[in-house]
Amino acid sequence: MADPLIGLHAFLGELGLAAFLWAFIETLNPERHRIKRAKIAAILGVTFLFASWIAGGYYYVSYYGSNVKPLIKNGPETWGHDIFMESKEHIFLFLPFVALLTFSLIKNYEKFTDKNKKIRKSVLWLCALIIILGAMMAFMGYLISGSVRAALEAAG
Amino acid sequence: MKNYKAAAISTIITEAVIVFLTLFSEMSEGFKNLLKAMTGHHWTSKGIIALILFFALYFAFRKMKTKENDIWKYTKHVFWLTIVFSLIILLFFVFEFFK
Repeated sequence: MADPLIGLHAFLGELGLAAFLWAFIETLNPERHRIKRAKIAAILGVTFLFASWIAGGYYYVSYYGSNVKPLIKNGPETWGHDIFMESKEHIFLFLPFVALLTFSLIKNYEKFTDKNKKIRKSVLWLCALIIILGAMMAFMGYLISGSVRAALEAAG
Repeated sequence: MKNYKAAAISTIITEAVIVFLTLFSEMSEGFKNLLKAMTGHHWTSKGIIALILFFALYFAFRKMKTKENDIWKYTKHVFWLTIVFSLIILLFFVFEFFK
């Protein structure tokens, strides 16, 4: 059975993405009550992404290196670790900072005078960036899991 | 964080430093060992350095003058540079794999 921490990491990451997708949708039509909801979504998104960082980080440092990495490296799809895990663990580090930046913009949304043009567009682009990066993380996670399965099948 | 321009610049510099730490630690075993010695794992050290750097940079830049027009400009910088930095990391490991 897979370590529960990897499931928790993925679950929290998905919740973080869903929260920023929610913030994106609210900002499409930025009325006052919708911006209030976007703020709630963004703070939830930041919290979930930081929690995902802690859960994934703990799993990576305490379990992955000694149990999963050697399995993939001895299997037929070593690229699962060498390319995708190496990339994922480092690109992931961008996400919490972009999430904090997005939250800071949404939090101060009401203070801007040009709300419906460039500020709105900025929030939408930042939310989209988080969703793109998060989707990349999920896809890389899928490829890494595939490499583990291939290694287990090869080992019989 | 009230100053968006300062937060955006802090994000960009932090991401650039993450890219540097990632690539340089793969090219220099000594540097990777130094990162390992800091916290017990090179990746944990990179994360902690990034976190401290981000807030230190924001603290340093927080009084920076900012206009509403800057927001869209800096958002575009953050968006495209994050994509470019991600591709640099991915392509670096693809290159290392096939080397």
